[in-house]
Amino acid sequence: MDILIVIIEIIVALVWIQQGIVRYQFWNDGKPGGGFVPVIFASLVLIAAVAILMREVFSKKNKETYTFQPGAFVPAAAAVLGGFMIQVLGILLSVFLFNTIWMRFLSRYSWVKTLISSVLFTAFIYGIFRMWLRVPFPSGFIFQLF
Amino acid sequence: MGNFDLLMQGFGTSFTFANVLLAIAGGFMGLFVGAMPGIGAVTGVALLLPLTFKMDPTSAIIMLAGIYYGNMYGGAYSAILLNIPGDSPAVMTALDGYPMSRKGRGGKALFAANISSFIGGTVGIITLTLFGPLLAKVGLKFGPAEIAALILLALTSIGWLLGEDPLKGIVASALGILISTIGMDSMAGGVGRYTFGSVNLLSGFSFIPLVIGMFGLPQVMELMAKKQEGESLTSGKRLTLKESLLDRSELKRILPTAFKSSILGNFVGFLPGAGGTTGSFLAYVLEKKTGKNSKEMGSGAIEGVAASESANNAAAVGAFAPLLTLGIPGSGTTAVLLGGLMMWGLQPGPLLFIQQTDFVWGLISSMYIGNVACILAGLIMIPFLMSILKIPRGIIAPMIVFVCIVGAYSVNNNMFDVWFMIAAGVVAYVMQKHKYPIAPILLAFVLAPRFEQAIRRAFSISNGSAKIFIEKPISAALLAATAIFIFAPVIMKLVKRLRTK
Repeated sequence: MDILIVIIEIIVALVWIQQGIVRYQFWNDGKPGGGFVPVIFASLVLIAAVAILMREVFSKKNKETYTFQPGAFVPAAAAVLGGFMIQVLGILLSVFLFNTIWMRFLSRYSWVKTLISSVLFTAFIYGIFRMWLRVPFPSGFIFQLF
Repeated sequence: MGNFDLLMQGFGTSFTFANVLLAIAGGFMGLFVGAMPGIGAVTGVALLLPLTFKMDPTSAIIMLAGIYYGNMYGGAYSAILLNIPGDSPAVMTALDGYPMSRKGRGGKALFAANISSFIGGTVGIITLTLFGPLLAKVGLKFGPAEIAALILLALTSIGWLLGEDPLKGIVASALGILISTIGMDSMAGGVGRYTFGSVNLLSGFSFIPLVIGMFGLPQVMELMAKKQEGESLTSGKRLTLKESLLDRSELKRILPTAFKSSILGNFVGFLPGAGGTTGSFLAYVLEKKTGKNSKEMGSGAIEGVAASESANNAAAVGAFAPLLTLGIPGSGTTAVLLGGLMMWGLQPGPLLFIQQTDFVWGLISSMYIGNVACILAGLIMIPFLMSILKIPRGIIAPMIVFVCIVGAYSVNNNMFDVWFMIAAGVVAYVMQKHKYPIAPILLAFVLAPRFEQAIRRAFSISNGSAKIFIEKPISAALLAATAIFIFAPVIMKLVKRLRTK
């Protein structure tokens, strides 16, 4: 995985350098062009990434291995689901459902605790973001139909 | 009339019941908004600006200054409690504040943040009172070459100082700079850069979704990986208010750091365009290099919180000097305040101090009131904030995730920021697991646009000659410091090796 990350870094650096020189110009009319800063720092990424790659390949030290924990990615997946829920149901209903589903089925709290917590949290989000800070919440695709 | 007499006259204007009330209300609102992950000082002030539309300019700016101040205090709270910095300067606070919370010392971190913020604010206001106009002139000596050299010094030290592996630190910092180059190139008439044909990327990535994603989401991912649903954020440690008060030895640890950092932060605040992030970062670096407990920093040292918070608040006040005397905002938030001033028909610049003495000194005197109001409000809020630490992880995890979503959404009111926040979170989690430090990405992201603007302007002024950086004494000294910073560890290592041989 370490090597994969380094390869991604090298690819990103090469794209930034190529675009910086060819498209945005490193130096233009006797002064720095749009590619000046990106090319310099992409080159730095490239040099450092290659150094890390060499170290990873040639190092004889015992490497710490990272064990993939699928549980860690549950919040990210839930956030993606939450994002889609917002687009379909709007923010308020999504907050309530999101919190309820998580607390009841992932954290395994009782229905009473779950519902009290969800109602309070929805009121908190509505009170702070919508009423006080006047953030325009999306109403959601379903509600727009009516 | 001397500055002291003018200040007293200013107190006459600001010390009315209504204005004191407005300063306190502003402080409370600022604290609350600043503590909300995803809002931050700039957005907070911008969102609350309409509240002041119907007030007279002096009362309005007094309230806005309170909000601004409160935001600076509040930004640290979410950084300490949830590892989600409310604003960019609080990134440095999170480095030690959150580990303190994890060790059951969150209350102490909050107290230290409040006291340091108060010291930073007080040092800043006194300096502004005594030397404001004068220091603004010194700040003017910092042209593009000097600003570029100063930010380069900060950027260079980021990678080396944060994290276990300097090479990975350098990659992280440089990646932060590359991310910041996505979007419009303002120096080239708003041409899109590295947008790869995406309309969403034309305006670049916003800092708030990036910071929420990189700090907030990985936090919950880590909680879920360990599956300790029933535990609170402090791993079940008992937290009482009494235990959270700072004892004499802790006060002794933070006071020198806070004063030292305040002076540095205040000076950085005076520089047009340098900002509180540069101030808090340089103060943290100074503490890490010269402090007694430098080895502990990054893993829950109270000095880390003190350095960052005092410098950040001192810089916040310092930024008022170029704003009022030159009309140049020193930070994003003061840029919003500049907009407010102009809306009320006030033209910041050297004449403001002569033509609008009531307003200027009313504002400066209100800062004293605002600073006291904020520390009181902060201390009152600590017991409530500490109760957040007692909430079981199974309850707080979904709440953090959804606050991350709403916080990211509320920046530009679009879903693109939400998707970006989630992606940033996953990338940050994977990078953290492979020993890449995350703070340098964020700090470089904030500092890079200012650096790029300054360096390109400097080259434009000198018609492409790099001599501009060496000919000017301030930039030459800063570049020399940068070189020492880069090469000193390497030379020291070589000398050590030669000695052992």
